[in-house]
Amino acid sequence: MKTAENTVIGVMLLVMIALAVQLPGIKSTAAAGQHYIPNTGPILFVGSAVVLFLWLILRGLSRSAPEQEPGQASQVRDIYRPRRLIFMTTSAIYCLVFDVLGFLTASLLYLFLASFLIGGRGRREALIGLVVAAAVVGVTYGIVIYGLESYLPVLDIAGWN
Amino acid sequence: MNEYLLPTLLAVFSDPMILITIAVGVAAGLIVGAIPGLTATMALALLVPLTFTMDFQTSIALLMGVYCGAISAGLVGSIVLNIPGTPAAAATCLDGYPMAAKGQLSRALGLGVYASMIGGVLSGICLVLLAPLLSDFAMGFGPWENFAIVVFTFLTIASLAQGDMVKAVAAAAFGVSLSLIGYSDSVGGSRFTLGIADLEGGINILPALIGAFALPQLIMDTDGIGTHKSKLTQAFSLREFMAAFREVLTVKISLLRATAIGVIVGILPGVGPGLSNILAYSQERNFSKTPEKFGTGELPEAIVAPEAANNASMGGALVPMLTLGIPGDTATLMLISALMLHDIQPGPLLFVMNADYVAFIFVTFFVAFLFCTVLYHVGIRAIISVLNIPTQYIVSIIFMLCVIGSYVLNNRMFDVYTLLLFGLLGYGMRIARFPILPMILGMILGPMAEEQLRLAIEYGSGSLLPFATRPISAAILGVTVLLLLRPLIKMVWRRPAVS
Repeated sequence: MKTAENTVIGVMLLVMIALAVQLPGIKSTAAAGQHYIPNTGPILFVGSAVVLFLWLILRGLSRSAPEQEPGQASQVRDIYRPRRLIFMTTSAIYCLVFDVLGFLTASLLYLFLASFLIGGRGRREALIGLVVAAAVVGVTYGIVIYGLESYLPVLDIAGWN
Repeated sequence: MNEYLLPTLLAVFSDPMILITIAVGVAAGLIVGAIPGLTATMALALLVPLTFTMDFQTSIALLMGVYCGAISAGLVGSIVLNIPGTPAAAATCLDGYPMAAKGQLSRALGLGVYASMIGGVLSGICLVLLAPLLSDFAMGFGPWENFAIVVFTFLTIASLAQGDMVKAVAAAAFGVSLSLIGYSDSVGGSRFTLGIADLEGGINILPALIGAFALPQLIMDTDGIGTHKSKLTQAFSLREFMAAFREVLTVKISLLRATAIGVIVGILPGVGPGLSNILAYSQERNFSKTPEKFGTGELPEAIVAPEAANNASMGGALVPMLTLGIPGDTATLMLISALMLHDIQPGPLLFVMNADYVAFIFVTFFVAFLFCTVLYHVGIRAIISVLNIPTQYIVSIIFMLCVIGSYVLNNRMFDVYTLLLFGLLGYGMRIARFPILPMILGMILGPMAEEQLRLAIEYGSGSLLPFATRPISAAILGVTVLLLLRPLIKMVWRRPAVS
């Protein structure tokens, strides 16, 4: 549990440090006011975030850290559940290819593969998954394009060289 | 403000499109809310970006319908599956499922539904009475009071958050810091962009909000694949369902007590229906002459109290949201985003500048509960059958809708990547037991906090003393300090008792 927790705290601290190193570069290009220095807010908020995350890391490393709460160990084991990992991976890939493959292709593939891989993997499940994916993608496309008059990315085969 | 209520009510009832929109919203909310794992927050998160192209009335009608429908439908999963549809219905499982297991499914559902509706409507009345008063009071606030309220909100959430208070405060500071990224009026330029052009406009709050709340929940919902099957075999009877209305009225003291708890808890920033549901149940047991019967499914008040309370929280949560721009819970956080999407800034000025909009929100709240009641009567069998939809389809469809919602806001992939990054961050935070709400609240209230701090320093000629000399600001900050010192006070209080 400690490793997972420290990793998350570490990532958040790194983000805050990335902001903190840019603090000296903040310069006012407008007449912000007579008394308010443009750095005041950022120093106050980013500074307190860095201090709090450092405190959490030090507390985690020290012996006086709070004892593990019941259920925490099982929660860490849950991270490695195959279904969670498959869903996270397919969802991440879907986001990355959404623009490249276009909404229709990417969504059809995603809905079919995600439901097939995390649900039952029989022939019947595959067929149902395919029908559900096609129906949902079709209805959603209709609502977004014709109902909301919005735009969704399309697969540009002509642009592929 | 009140002079707008009747004309708005008449206008709503004379516009079939608005009525249909509310009904569609309620129906969607009832379906989403009934499915375990899909919360009202998620339903609103999916819808808010899609309301971007709609006018204010249509989008609010739809969102209020979903809000009311989703919170109240949590009871269906609790009673039928023994798994709360939403966290707001957690305590309803304790007696709802045992009552249904005894062959009284329709009675249990009836008690829950009627208590929900009465609690919701009473909280709506509280909302209509309290919100204008608080708004008038808040009109006298200066930047000192506004900044003090933001600090108070963060620390209330942190102190009421289950688990580690330091983590909650750190998450809030993290969120506020992220909100500083991009162009700022106070600087007259961009900050913290790391040279990334897409960050010039700042982090778009909606994809971040959707990602942080929806993706972790969806990932965790995959654990439930194949497990959500009702063991109840009896058929639903509308007559038994409707007979429960009289039974609800026999425990009216419990109903009123739970409603009061719900409204008060709802007003507290960042707490929401989840706590009110559990608090009302435990209070009811404390007041009961037969506490040993709680958990057996015999007592109507054991279902009535938690259900009245969680719906009553909705009206309560709308009070600080509309009057101060401070969300009462995660669902109202989404509603604030929807208002901001339509360039409407919640706060005391809203009641002066856009009183007709406020009246519309009030009216749609009541109409949504009316439709909720009607739809429960005609469609509860369908709502129960929704519980049988396999989770593997639900999670992937919802994530697809999240991606579309993020994309259509600005038609740019950067928002989709924001959704993914915040989703993974939110998942990590849940694993590490970090509350997500303070982070998102920080992102929403961060610009307001900085602006009010800037104004306070400017108006005070560089002095911070007015924070302590102005009575309301001093009182709010005093309560905030007490909240911070609460663990220490508890420790000192307990010591003599131990010795």
